[in-house]
Formats: sequence, structure tokens, C-alpha cells
Amino acid sequence: MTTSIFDADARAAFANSVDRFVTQRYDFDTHRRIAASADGYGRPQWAEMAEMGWNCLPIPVDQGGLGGGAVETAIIMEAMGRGLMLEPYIATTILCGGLITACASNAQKEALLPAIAAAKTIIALAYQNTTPVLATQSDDSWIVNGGKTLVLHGDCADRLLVTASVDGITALFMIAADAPGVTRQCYRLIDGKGIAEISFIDAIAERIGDSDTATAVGNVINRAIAATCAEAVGAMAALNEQTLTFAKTRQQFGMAIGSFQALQHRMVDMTIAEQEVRAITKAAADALDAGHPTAGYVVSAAKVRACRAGRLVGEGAIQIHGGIGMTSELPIGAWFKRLLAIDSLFGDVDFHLDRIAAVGESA
Amino acid sequence: MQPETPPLSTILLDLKCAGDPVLQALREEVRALCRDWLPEDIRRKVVLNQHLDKDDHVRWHRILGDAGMLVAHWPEVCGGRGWSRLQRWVFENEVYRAGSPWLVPFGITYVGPIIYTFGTEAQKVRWLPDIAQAKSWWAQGYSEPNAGSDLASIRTRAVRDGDHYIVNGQKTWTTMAQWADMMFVLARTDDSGPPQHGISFLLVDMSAPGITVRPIGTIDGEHHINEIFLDEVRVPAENLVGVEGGGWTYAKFLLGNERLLAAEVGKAQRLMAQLDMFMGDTSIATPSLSQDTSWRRRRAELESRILALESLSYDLLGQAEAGQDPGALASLLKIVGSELIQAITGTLLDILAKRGLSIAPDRLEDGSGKDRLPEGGSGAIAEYLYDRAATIYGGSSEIQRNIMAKAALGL
Repeated sequence: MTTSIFDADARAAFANSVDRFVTQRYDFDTHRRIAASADGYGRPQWAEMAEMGWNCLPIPVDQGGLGGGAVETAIIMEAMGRGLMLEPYIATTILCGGLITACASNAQKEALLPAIAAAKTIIALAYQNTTPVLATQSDDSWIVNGGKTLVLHGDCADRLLVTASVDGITALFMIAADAPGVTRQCYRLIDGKGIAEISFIDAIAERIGDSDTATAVGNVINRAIAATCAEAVGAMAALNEQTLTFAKTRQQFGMAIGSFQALQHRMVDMTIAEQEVRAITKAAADALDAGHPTAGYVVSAAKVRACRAGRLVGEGAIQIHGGIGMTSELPIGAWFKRLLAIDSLFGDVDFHLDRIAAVGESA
Repeated sequence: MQPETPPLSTILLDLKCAGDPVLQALREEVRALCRDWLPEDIRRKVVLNQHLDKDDHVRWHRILGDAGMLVAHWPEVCGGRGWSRLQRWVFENEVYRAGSPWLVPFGITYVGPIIYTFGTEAQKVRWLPDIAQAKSWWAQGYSEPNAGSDLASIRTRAVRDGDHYIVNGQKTWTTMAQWADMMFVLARTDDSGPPQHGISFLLVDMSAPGITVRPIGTIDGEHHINEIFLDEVRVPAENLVGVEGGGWTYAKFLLGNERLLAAEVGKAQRLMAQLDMFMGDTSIATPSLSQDTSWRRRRAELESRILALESLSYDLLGQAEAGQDPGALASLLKIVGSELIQAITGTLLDILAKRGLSIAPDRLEDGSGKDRLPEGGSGAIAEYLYDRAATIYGGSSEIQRNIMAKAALGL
């Protein structure tokens, strides 16, 4: 279990600073500029995040981090959803930082964790296969072959953390993104985040740790799912806030459209959906931080609710805005697309419903 | 098939209790009480959604009364244990999960708190002990034929006559009034101001001359609700609670108190156990629905909704404990909770429909025919039908949305 330095006051102060950053340094124009850039993320913003301690937040205190848990990570992610941020936080900090902390040798941790904390590296986790990924040992190095898909921020990563089979177990390998034998097809998700499909042909790799890492991979993915649910909460909160403001000011038939009951009830349902996801995401974070053996069950439930709510809130926000909600001039559509992208990452609704059913059965 | 209380996911409550030994001890106390003292014949009827008679309710309520749990949410000075709302929530949901009948709220959570908050010392002494020990049965005289969602437009009139009020009018949808000894009534004592201002809160003896109770059958084939006619009923003036004209304020106090507990998570979990029974039943489908991906997903979706409702309840109860008033946000627990119960019973209905939605023989006058449904099937259909009321009573879902739009969203 992590020892967190965060008490309620520290958490509130941290949340304030996170909010301030998003409000002052990451407005909608910034989002659009970064989304249109070749990098796909903001280099100065990524560096600033590290300066504010975001990138070392989940790293344990004895490894030079802040020892924050899923609850603290959620503060950052909610802000990233509201601010439509594009930086590779989930990929590098939560997924790869988490795996390195859990699985790497001390020497590897000493080499990699400070680089993550200082935003000196972008590492992407490649864990979903298109073709079987196998690692073999030759002389004193490892060689990886196979194909990976949906590698979040695999486009801008300088290192790839890759799961591969070794004698039937799941092992982890670090591969330089520009190493010979690594081919990346890069594309963008609907919300501007970079993603890659990657193939490895005799790529030279460094093994991370020496044991079966399947459980650790599952654990960090659970943390990433909880984080992305918090991101969805941020996007939904922003959509609801903007929609409410719009409904109170937009006049039709000589009155604010927010005075119409049909729209009021729809906005109430949107608020309820946001509150539900907020509550179950917090419950999922608590379950993760408590190290509960079936935390993944709550995490999956949170993801299902986040996907359902994301559609309801996003589609409702556009409908209530009317034509102006369809334009790319307002962030409404951008938040909606962030929610749609979240739907598609780390397992869709059906995947998580199946997981809930399976966990319920084995419990 | 013998209905057992099945293992259900209690992960959120486990986590909640992990850091709270007092709550954990309470939870274990409630579980032990249900295990040792909930009569098996009553539990079985509940789990199968069968008819319960007055004696079933009274027996269980008295057991809870003897154990000091029925009104443990009351202050100690009134005979309670001063439980917080979270503690009451845990209690209710543990007993419902175990197969407890509905904790009839009219005495223990509706009129009791109004009496100890706004009543006289004499009223407290006269009424509270009987409620605490389930010796008196109370009914709620609120709705009228022309005052449902628009409750402030009630017309039942109370006119002062010496040391009595003379009450005339009609109440309706009065749940379980056929068993009631007493009824708390909203009656109009003044027409001069806004409709909310002239309403008073009276305690009426159901055996008083001039009271007629007419049963109203409901679509589930049961007798839950009644029409009450009040014809020149003499109510002692000492049965006025608080001040004349203060009734609306007291009724609203009650609603605010109650809404935080409105989410019936324990009941939802019990119904899910029944869903599991039907999904595993090969007389309904072979192979059973528990092997079928689309039904497994449907079930999992409901499970995710229960977990969301439970975590929402903890959040809002937590706010209330911390002294913040969650205000109109509490309305969402009523909306979400009632719609979830309906979704679960709707799913039960869809499963049973695979065998044809037949009527059980004991529901037919001549008792003819054979029950085509699995055990608990008829009860589940009745439960589905009766639960249509969940989004109507206690402020309809539409009224709750109006409240939220106005008070939480500022629209």
C-alpha cells in the first residue's frame, strides 16, 4: 500500500494549483493549437506539469515521488478533461511509471523514474497485440517480434514499454522508439490525442524486471481506467456548466430557453449522470488505493457508467446549444469528442460489462 | 428451489466500513440480528415477493423494536440511539439485503421525528413509545383526489370548535391505512394566504366516528392503498402538532430528512439475487440465460448502476454528515433509486415473459390451472407492477426534476 503525503488540506491545495494551471495556461485556443501541431502535445506544458509535481505524483515517496494514489491522480485527470489537455500523462506517468515502479530492478528504477518525474522522457505502453508478440534471448540481449495496436501516445514516445511472451509468461521490455526494427503508424484519436500501431521486427529490447508481470499490467490498466473516468468527469462537468450558462442566457420566444421544462429535465439528467460517474469513480479510486482484490470490478462499473454518461451529457449539450453547439468554434464538440475517445480506450462498454459478469461469477 | 440470501457484492460497504470500526460493528450487529431473528416464513415471503399480512410486519417490527434498532436513528432522549443518517442507511440496507420486509416508515421515520422535533412534551410521551415498539400503526394522510403532485392545494378542512378540530374531507392513496391506528393529516385551517400557509398537521385516531376507509385495488392484484373519507371527525386540539398553519413546513422537513435515505440499494441487491435465480433456471431457458452474453451484459449493466447509486448515496450522506446540506441534490437519489428498481423488476419481467406472463392459480378466484412460472415468478410480476408507483409517490420523478432544476441548477 502506498504511503501518501496527502491529507485533506494538502489534497485541496493541490487541487487548487491544478485548477489554476488549467484555467490560466490551457484554454481552448491552446488546446486547438497543440492538437494541430506535429508533436500532438505541448512541450512547455508537459515541462510545467513536471515542475508542478504532477509527473512524480504517483511515484512512491522512497523513489523520490509524492506517493499519491488514484484519488490524487483523479484530481489531475479531472482537470485534464476539463482543459482538454493532450499531454501523455496516462501513458507515461500512470501506466509506464506504475509498471516500472512495480516491476523494474532498482537500477532500472533509478534510471527511469527521475526521467519520468522530470518529463525528460515520454514512454508509451504497448500492451494490445495485433499479432503475437514474442521475446527471445540471443547472446546477452533480448529480441522482440510482433505487432501492437492502440498504443496511446505511441506517436510521440521516445521509449516503448512492450508486453511480450517469454516461456508462456507476460514479460516487459523497454524498446527505444527509434530503434531498428520498430515501425510506427501514427494517427490521432477523435479528440486529438496521439496513438500508434507498432510492429517490431527483431527489435533489440531491455527486459524490465525478471518475473511475470501480467498482474502488474492489469493493475496499472485499472488505474488508467479510473484515471480516464476522472478525465470524463472533468469533460462532463465542463459541458454541464457551459450548457447551463447557455440555457440561462439564450433567449427564444422572449425568454431564456432554460425556463422550458423539457430542457430543464434534460439538464437535470445530465447533472445526475455527471454526479453518478463522479461518485463511482471516487469509489473505484478508493478501492484501488485500498488494494482491494476485486477493485477491477468497481473500475469496470465506473467505465461503463462513464461511457453511458458521456454520450448522454455530450449529446445533450449539443442539442441544448442548438446549431452553435455543432460548430468547432465552441469547445462543446471538443469535450464531446474527448468523451467519445475515452469510450474507445481501455475497453468499451461491452468489454467492461463482460468483465463485471466474469468477476461476479468468480466472487 | 429454496430461496437463499445469496452472496452479493458488498465491496463498497466493505471499503466504507474498513476505516470505520463503529460502522463495521453496527453492520455486524444488524447482520447477526437478521440471521438470528428474522423469521424464516417472513423472509421467504419477502424474497419471493409474496403477500405479507399485518402480523408479518408487526412481528418483525417488534423484533427490531426490542433490539433497539427500529428507531435507533432517533435521539437518545426520545428512545433512540442517536444514529447518524449513514448509520441508518447501513442498517436499512443490511436488513433489506437480508430479506427484511419494507420498514414501514410512517411512524418511525415520518411522524416520529416530526413529533420529537415540533411536538409538545405531552405528545412525545403519548405517541413516541408506541411507535418505537411498533405498538401503533400510522398512516400518512397527505394526497387528495385533487392534490397529488400539487400537494399544497389540499382541501380537507379542519375547523376549530372549542377544544377540538372538526375535520371534513377526503384523503387518497393512503398506504396500509386499513391496518392503521393513527393517521397524520395535512388539513387546511386557513384560506386567506398563499396555499402553503394555511395548512396544519393533525394526529387523527382512525377509530374516531366519521372515518371511512375504502380499499383501492392496485394493478398487482393487492390491497396496498385506500381512500379515506373524513366526515365531521372530531380531533382533540391537543393533537395539533406545532403551530396552526405550520404543517407545510413540517411536511417539507420530513421530505428533506427522508430523501437522503430514498435509494433502496439493499432492495435492489435482493432483487438482483432473484434475477440470478431466474437467469440460472433451465426451466426458463436451456442453456440458462446466465450462459448468454446479451443477458449477462444486461445484468452487468444493472450491477454498474447499483454500484453508482451506492457510491452516490455515500457521497451525499457524507456531505450531510459533514454538516453541508446536499439540498436538492438529494432529489437525485430518489430519481435514480426508483428508476433503478424499475429497471431491475422490468428485467425480471422480461425473463418471465419467456414462459408467458401467466397468472398464478392463487390469484384466480377458483384457483384453477397450474402455475407455469418458476417459484417467485408471480411475486416478481406483482413487484414489477407495484413498483410503477416508485416514480410516482413521495414526489414524482418529474417533480423531483423540477426541484433539482430550480434549486440545484438555478433554472
